Amino acid sequence: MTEPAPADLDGVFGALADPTRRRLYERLVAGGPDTATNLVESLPVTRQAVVKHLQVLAEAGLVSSERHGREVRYAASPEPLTPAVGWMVATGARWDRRLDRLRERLAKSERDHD
Amino acid sequence: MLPAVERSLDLDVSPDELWRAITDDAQLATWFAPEAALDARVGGSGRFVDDDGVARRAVVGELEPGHRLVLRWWPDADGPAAASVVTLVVAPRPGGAQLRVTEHLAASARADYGALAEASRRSWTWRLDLLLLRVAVMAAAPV
Repeated sequence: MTEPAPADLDGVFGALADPTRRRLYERLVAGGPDTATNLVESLPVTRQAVVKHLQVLAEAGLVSSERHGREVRYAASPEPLTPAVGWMVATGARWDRRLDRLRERLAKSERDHD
Repeated sequence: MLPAVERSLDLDVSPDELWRAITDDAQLATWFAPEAALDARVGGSGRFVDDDGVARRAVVGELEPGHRLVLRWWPDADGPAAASVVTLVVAPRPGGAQLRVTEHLAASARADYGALAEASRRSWTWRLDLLLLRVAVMAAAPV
Protein backbone atom coordinates (compact mmCIF):
# COMPACT_ATOMS: atom_id res chain seq x y z
CA MET A 1 0.00 0.00 0.00
CA THR A 2 1.46 3.37 -0.97
CA GLU A 3 0.88 6.25 1.42
CA PRO A 4 -0.73 9.37 -0.02
CA ALA A 5 1.76 12.24 -0.27
CA PRO A 6 1.23 15.21 2.09
CA ALA A 7 -1.27 17.72 0.78
CA ASP A 8 0.27 20.36 -1.44
CA LEU A 9 -2.39 22.70 -2.70
CA ASP A 10 -0.71 23.46 -6.02
CA GLY A 11 -0.45 19.73 -6.62
CA VAL A 12 -4.03 19.07 -5.57
CA PHE A 13 -5.58 21.81 -7.69
CA GLY A 14 -3.18 21.24 -10.56
CA ALA A 15 -4.14 17.57 -10.63
CA LEU A 16 -7.86 18.36 -10.60
CA ALA A 17 -7.61 21.16 -13.18
CA ASP A 18 -7.59 18.47 -15.88
CA PRO A 19 -11.14 17.31 -16.79
CA THR A 20 -10.12 13.70 -17.46
CA ARG A 21 -8.41 13.44 -14.08
CA ARG A 22 -11.42 15.03 -12.42
CA ARG A 23 -13.70 12.43 -14.03
CA LEU A 24 -11.31 9.68 -13.01
CA TYR A 25 -11.25 10.93 -9.43
CA GLU A 26 -15.03 11.29 -9.28
CA ARG A 27 -15.38 7.77 -10.69
CA LEU A 28 -13.14 6.42 -7.89
CA VAL A 29 -15.07 8.35 -5.24
CA ALA A 30 -18.46 7.24 -6.55
CA GLY A 31 -17.59 3.69 -7.60
CA GLY A 32 -14.96 2.74 -5.03
CA PRO A 33 -11.47 1.28 -5.61
CA ASP A 34 -10.83 -0.15 -9.07
CA THR A 35 -8.14 -1.24 -11.52
CA ALA A 36 -6.80 0.87 -14.40
CA THR A 37 -8.23 -1.69 -16.84
CA ASN A 38 -11.75 -1.25 -15.51
CA LEU A 39 -11.38 2.52 -15.27
CA VAL A 40 -10.48 2.76 -18.98
CA GLU A 41 -13.96 1.51 -19.89
CA SER A 42 -15.61 4.64 -18.48
CA LEU A 43 -13.27 7.09 -20.21
CA PRO A 44 -12.46 7.97 -23.83
CA VAL A 45 -8.70 7.53 -23.33
CA THR A 46 -6.11 4.73 -23.54
CA ARG A 47 -5.09 2.55 -20.60
CA GLN A 48 -1.62 4.11 -20.74
CA ALA A 49 -3.17 7.59 -20.37
CA VAL A 50 -5.31 6.44 -17.44
CA VAL A 51 -2.26 5.06 -15.63
CA LYS A 52 -0.43 8.34 -16.20
CA HIS A 53 -3.38 10.36 -14.88
CA LEU A 54 -3.59 8.05 -11.83
CA GLN A 55 0.09 8.71 -11.17
CA VAL A 56 -0.51 12.49 -11.18
CA LEU A 57 -3.45 12.05 -8.79
CA ALA A 58 -1.29 9.81 -6.57
CA GLU A 59 1.50 12.40 -6.46
CA ALA A 60 -1.05 14.97 -5.26
CA GLY A 61 -2.15 12.56 -2.51
CA LEU A 62 -5.62 12.18 -4.04
CA VAL A 63 -5.25 8.52 -4.97
CA SER A 64 -3.55 5.57 -3.30
CA SER A 65 -2.72 2.22 -4.90
CA GLU A 66 -2.62 -1.33 -3.56
CA ARG A 67 -1.31 -4.43 -5.30
CA HIS A 68 -3.46 -7.60 -5.25
CA GLY A 69 -1.41 -10.35 -6.93
CA ARG A 70 -1.09 -9.27 -10.57
CA GLU A 71 -3.44 -6.31 -10.43
CA VAL A 72 -3.16 -2.86 -8.90
CA ARG A 73 -6.26 -1.30 -7.38
CA TYR A 74 -6.58 2.46 -7.09
CA ALA A 75 -8.61 4.22 -4.38
CA ALA A 76 -9.60 7.86 -3.85
CA SER A 77 -8.31 9.72 -0.77
CA PRO A 78 -10.33 12.83 0.05
CA GLU A 79 -8.00 14.17 2.78
CA PRO A 80 -6.07 16.68 0.68
CA LEU A 81 -9.30 18.29 -0.49
CA THR A 82 -10.94 19.02 2.80
CA PRO A 83 -8.75 21.88 4.06
CA ALA A 84 -8.72 23.57 0.65
CA VAL A 85 -12.47 23.39 0.22
CA GLY A 86 -13.00 24.37 3.85
CA TRP A 87 -10.89 27.48 3.37
CA MET A 88 -12.85 28.46 0.27
CA VAL A 89 -16.22 28.01 1.91
CA ALA A 90 -15.24 29.92 5.08
CA THR A 91 -13.60 32.73 3.07
CA GLY A 92 -16.54 32.95 0.66
CA ALA A 93 -19.03 33.16 3.52
CA ARG A 94 -17.06 36.04 5.06
CA TRP A 95 -17.11 37.96 1.76
CA ASP A 96 -20.84 37.33 1.38
CA ARG A 97 -21.44 38.93 4.79
CA ARG A 98 -19.13 41.86 4.02
CA LEU A 99 -20.68 42.57 0.63
CA ASP A 100 -24.20 42.35 2.06
CA ARG A 101 -23.24 45.03 4.58
CA LEU A 102 -21.62 47.17 1.86
CA ARG A 103 -24.73 46.97 -0.32
CA GLU A 104 -26.91 47.96 2.61
CA ARG A 105 -24.59 50.77 3.67
CA LEU A 106 -24.27 52.32 0.18
CA ALA A 107 -28.02 52.06 -0.40
CA LYS A 108 -28.47 54.02 2.85
CA SER A 109 -25.97 56.74 1.91
CA GLU A 110 -27.76 57.11 -1.43
CA ARG A 111 -31.03 57.72 0.37
CA ASP A 112 -29.30 60.24 2.66
CA HIS A 113 -28.24 62.26 -0.42
CA ASP A 114 -31.86 62.46 -1.70
CA MET B 1 -3.43 26.98 -9.18
CA LEU B 2 -4.44 27.94 -5.64
CA PRO B 3 -7.86 27.94 -3.99
CA ALA B 4 -9.59 31.23 -4.70
CA VAL B 5 -12.87 32.92 -3.88
CA GLU B 6 -14.44 35.43 -6.24
CA ARG B 7 -17.38 37.76 -5.73
CA SER B 8 -18.77 40.81 -7.49
CA LEU B 9 -21.31 43.41 -6.50
CA ASP B 10 -23.10 45.97 -8.70
CA LEU B 11 -23.94 49.21 -6.94
CA ASP B 12 -25.83 52.38 -7.87
CA VAL B 13 -23.09 54.69 -6.60
CA SER B 14 -20.25 56.40 -8.44
CA PRO B 15 -16.88 54.62 -8.71
CA ASP B 16 -15.40 57.42 -6.56
CA GLU B 17 -17.90 56.82 -3.79
CA LEU B 18 -17.24 53.08 -3.91
CA TRP B 19 -13.49 53.69 -3.83
CA ARG B 20 -13.88 55.77 -0.66
CA ALA B 21 -15.92 52.94 0.88
CA ILE B 22 -13.01 50.52 0.42
CA THR B 23 -10.17 52.85 1.48
CA ASP B 24 -11.55 55.08 4.24
CA ASP B 25 -11.26 53.68 7.80
CA ALA B 26 -14.55 55.08 9.03
CA GLN B 27 -16.39 53.63 6.04
CA LEU B 28 -14.54 50.30 6.19
CA ALA B 29 -15.76 49.86 9.76
CA THR B 30 -19.36 49.99 8.53
CA TRP B 31 -19.06 46.95 6.28
CA PHE B 32 -15.62 45.39 5.94
CA ALA B 33 -14.94 44.58 9.59
CA PRO B 34 -16.26 46.15 12.82
CA GLU B 35 -12.71 47.25 13.65
CA ALA B 36 -10.84 48.50 10.59
CA ALA B 37 -7.69 50.57 10.19
CA LEU B 38 -5.90 50.79 6.86
CA ASP B 39 -3.05 52.97 5.68
CA ALA B 40 -4.10 52.95 2.01
CA ARG B 41 -0.74 53.33 0.26
CA VAL B 42 1.73 50.76 -1.04
CA GLY B 43 3.52 49.19 1.93
CA GLY B 44 0.94 50.67 4.34
CA SER B 45 -0.27 48.41 7.11
CA GLY B 46 -3.76 47.54 8.23
CA ARG B 47 -5.53 45.85 11.08
CA PHE B 48 -8.99 44.33 11.00
CA VAL B 49 -11.13 42.51 13.54
CA ASP B 50 -13.85 40.58 11.75
CA ASP B 51 -17.43 40.00 12.92
CA ASP B 52 -16.39 36.46 13.91
CA GLY B 53 -13.73 37.94 16.24
CA VAL B 54 -10.76 36.97 14.04
CA ALA B 55 -8.10 39.69 14.10
CA ARG B 56 -5.95 40.14 11.00
CA ARG B 57 -2.91 42.16 10.05
CA ALA B 58 -2.57 43.42 6.50
CA VAL B 59 -0.02 45.02 4.21
CA VAL B 60 -0.97 46.93 1.06
CA GLY B 61 0.81 45.29 -1.88
CA GLU B 62 -0.54 47.35 -4.79
CA LEU B 63 -2.62 50.47 -5.16
CA GLU B 64 -4.05 52.12 -8.28
CA PRO B 65 -6.05 55.02 -6.80
CA GLY B 66 -9.72 54.86 -7.69
CA HIS B 67 -9.38 51.44 -9.27
CA ARG B 68 -7.46 48.65 -7.57
CA LEU B 69 -6.30 47.71 -4.07
CA VAL B 70 -4.32 44.57 -3.27
CA LEU B 71 -3.80 43.48 0.34
CA ARG B 72 -1.87 40.61 1.78
CA TRP B 73 -3.30 39.64 5.17
CA TRP B 74 -3.19 36.92 7.79
CA PRO B 75 -4.92 36.07 11.06
CA ASP B 76 -2.94 37.11 14.16
CA ALA B 77 -3.40 33.63 15.55
CA ASP B 78 -1.84 31.85 12.55
CA GLY B 79 0.81 34.36 11.47
CA PRO B 80 2.11 35.21 7.98
CA ALA B 81 2.36 31.50 7.08
CA ALA B 82 -1.43 31.56 6.68
CA ALA B 83 -1.43 34.67 4.47
CA SER B 84 -3.95 35.22 1.73
CA VAL B 85 -4.16 37.94 -0.90
CA VAL B 86 -7.24 40.11 -1.33
CA THR B 87 -7.75 42.08 -4.56
CA LEU B 88 -10.49 44.72 -4.70
CA VAL B 89 -11.24 46.23 -8.11
CA VAL B 90 -13.64 49.12 -8.71
CA ALA B 91 -14.96 49.50 -12.25
CA PRO B 92 -17.54 51.89 -13.70
CA ARG B 93 -20.75 50.41 -15.08
CA PRO B 94 -23.82 52.12 -16.59
CA GLY B 95 -25.47 54.10 -13.79
CA GLY B 96 -23.05 53.02 -11.10
CA ALA B 97 -20.00 50.99 -10.19
CA GLN B 98 -19.01 47.37 -9.75
CA LEU B 99 -16.81 45.94 -7.01
CA ARG B 100 -14.94 42.74 -7.81
CA VAL B 101 -13.29 40.86 -4.96
CA THR B 102 -10.92 37.93 -5.15
CA GLU B 103 -9.13 36.26 -2.27
CA HIS B 104 -6.63 33.48 -2.76
CA LEU B 105 -4.22 31.77 -0.41
CA ALA B 106 -0.68 33.08 -0.79
CA ALA B 107 1.70 30.52 -2.30
CA SER B 108 3.72 30.69 0.92
CA ALA B 109 0.68 29.47 2.88
CA ARG B 110 0.80 26.04 1.30
CA ALA B 111 3.28 24.38 3.63
CA ASP B 112 1.35 25.38 6.73
CA TYR B 113 -1.98 24.83 5.17
CA GLY B 114 -2.90 21.93 7.43
CA ALA B 115 -2.90 24.36 10.36
CA LEU B 116 -5.84 26.21 8.82
CA ALA B 117 -8.12 23.21 8.75
CA GLU B 118 -10.51 23.11 11.66
CA ALA B 119 -11.98 19.94 13.09
CA SER B 120 -15.48 20.89 11.99
CA ARG B 121 -14.40 21.17 8.38
CA ARG B 122 -13.15 17.61 8.44
CA SER B 123 -16.59 16.21 9.07
CA TRP B 124 -17.81 17.05 5.60
CA THR B 125 -18.80 14.26 3.32
CA TRP B 126 -16.92 13.44 0.17
CA ARG B 127 -19.92 14.20 -1.94
CA LEU B 128 -20.17 17.73 -0.62
CA ASP B 129 -16.45 18.23 -1.13
CA LEU B 130 -16.69 17.13 -4.73
CA LEU B 131 -19.66 19.34 -5.45
CA LEU B 132 -17.94 22.36 -3.96
CA LEU B 133 -14.68 21.43 -5.60
CA ARG B 134 -16.27 21.59 -9.03
CA VAL B 135 -17.47 25.10 -8.31
CA ALA B 136 -14.15 26.07 -6.79
CA VAL B 137 -12.05 24.78 -9.66
CA MET B 138 -14.22 26.74 -12.10
CA ALA B 139 -13.95 29.87 -9.98
CA ALA B 140 -10.18 29.52 -9.65
CA ALA B 141 -9.61 29.00 -13.39
CA PRO B 142 -8.11 32.07 -15.08
CA VAL B 143 -10.77 34.13 -16.88
